[in-house]
Amino acid sequence: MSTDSQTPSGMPRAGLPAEAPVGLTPAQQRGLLRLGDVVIPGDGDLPSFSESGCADGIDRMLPYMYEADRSSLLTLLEACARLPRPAIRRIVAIAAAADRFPEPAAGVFRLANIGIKGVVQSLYWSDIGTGGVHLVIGHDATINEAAYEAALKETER
Amino acid sequence: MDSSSQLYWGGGVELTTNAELAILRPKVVGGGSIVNQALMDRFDDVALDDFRSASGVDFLASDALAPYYERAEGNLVLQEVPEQHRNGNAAIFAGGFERNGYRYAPLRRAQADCRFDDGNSCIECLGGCRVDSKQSTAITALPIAEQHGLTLLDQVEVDQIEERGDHVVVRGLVGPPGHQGRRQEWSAQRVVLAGGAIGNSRLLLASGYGGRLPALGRNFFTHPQFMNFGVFDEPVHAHRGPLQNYKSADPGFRRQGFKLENVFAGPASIAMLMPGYGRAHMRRMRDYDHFGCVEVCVRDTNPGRIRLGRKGQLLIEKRMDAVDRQRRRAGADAIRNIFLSMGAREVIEGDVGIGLHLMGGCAIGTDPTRSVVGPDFTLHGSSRIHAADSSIFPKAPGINPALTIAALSLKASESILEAAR
Repeated sequence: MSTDSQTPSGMPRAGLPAEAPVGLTPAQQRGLLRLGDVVIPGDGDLPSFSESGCADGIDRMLPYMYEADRSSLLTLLEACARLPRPAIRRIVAIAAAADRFPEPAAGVFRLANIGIKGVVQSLYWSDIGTGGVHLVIGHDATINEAAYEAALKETER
Repeated sequence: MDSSSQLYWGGGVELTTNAELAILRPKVVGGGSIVNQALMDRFDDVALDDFRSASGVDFLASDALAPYYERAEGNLVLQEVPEQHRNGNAAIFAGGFERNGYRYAPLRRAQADCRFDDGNSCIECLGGCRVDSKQSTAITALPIAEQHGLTLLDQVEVDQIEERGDHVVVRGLVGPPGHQGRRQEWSAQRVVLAGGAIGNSRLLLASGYGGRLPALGRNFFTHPQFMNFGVFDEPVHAHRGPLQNYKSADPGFRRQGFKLENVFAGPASIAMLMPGYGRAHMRRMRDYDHFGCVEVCVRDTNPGRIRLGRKGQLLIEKRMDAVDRQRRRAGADAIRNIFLSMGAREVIEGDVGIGLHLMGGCAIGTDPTRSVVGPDFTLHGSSRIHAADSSIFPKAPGINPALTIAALSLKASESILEAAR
């Protein structure tokens, strides 16, 4: 998610994790849960973002972002930790309706929309928490690696 | 999530400067051949006539490229999905085309044995094929190259290239994920750039070639793709079995500048594409297993530009103009007809455009003011730096590029070997 974030040559590497562990501060974690619950409030047997337990997965996502994107995201999460919930809702609503605005404002809101979705929706719908969301929506795609490995061994005999 | 984060630049996607398109640019050894859906079509005369007209390069013609296409096809196992394994999404696609009088055809895929009887779902292979069926370069070309002495260095990011008389110097950062990397320099008699449209353009721009190659980074195309969904009462199970089976083969669609394919994606990607948020979005996602999905792939006419910002950062400028938007609209209208004729209760248009056929930036051509690479696949003004991938495309072909990249690479290898003698 970048408009201007890849490192210039000679600078720290683009797209590879930084040396230091990358994680969220407690405030940023709180902001992620609050933002996540606006985007994914839960619906029947589908848990909310915070209930799903997927937020911890952000540690697997952050290290691979470009530094500028990561920095923008962390700023947004810090803001979400402090803002009243209606204000967070307003941010998400404006971002989701980006194309109703004239350019270049629309581009800024599209960037925000994809950034928010890229984190919140990816974490939740990757089903890395305890919510079992894939089961609820019927996603059961698999690759039977065991059968393939067995077939390979059979061929080698 | 992990495959998206780790296999693509930017931790999943990079955005164009106006955030109109999400660019999917693989950073894995083997590039697009690892993560694509391995669709292998030759370019038609429409595409190649445009290529030839834009470039002035005579061999960009069906007859002249035929031997290279044949060799490229001979290096791969090519199959159509067996009829008995085609899934519900394919049935909707085929049925909708027939009811609307549109022409369609089975896709030809580079795959050896997807072992569908084991219950495999190719949607998993968007993160790389785990049963070695997909004919990626990791399966086909690289093992042969290694037998001939290739040494592969992975986890290297090259950021400078410089031609010095009788050799070329390349500099970059080496190191595994989790480290900043250490700088290293390599020297070679020749260098063949194969970093794709963005990678090649960025490297050459960062190395100062923009001044003498005015076309560098220009004429960038992506075939903007938009996935649209039909919601059906009965489960479709679009995620099961082979992910893609059919493509449009309608001359009218070709004339209008778009093609359609049946396609799908995992829940995280579908959630990205679904418009809205909150409970309304969740209720739509609850219908995931009831989605039919067809994507419109636009043959884009408005070229983009890859350039570096003041701090050296990558900027991807790419806008859909009125013509490109009209092409998207025409494709979306055809998809609506397909879904509604098959009984969809709702049609949803995805609200994020995707660019994953990344082409141009180092266009091939005879005119150094309008192209970057000459007909001998060598940079204008250079004798030792070559390019042989989709970065040399002078236009958007409107057809999946993988097979033509392979064919042109074979042609390039002859040319480069000849120059080296």
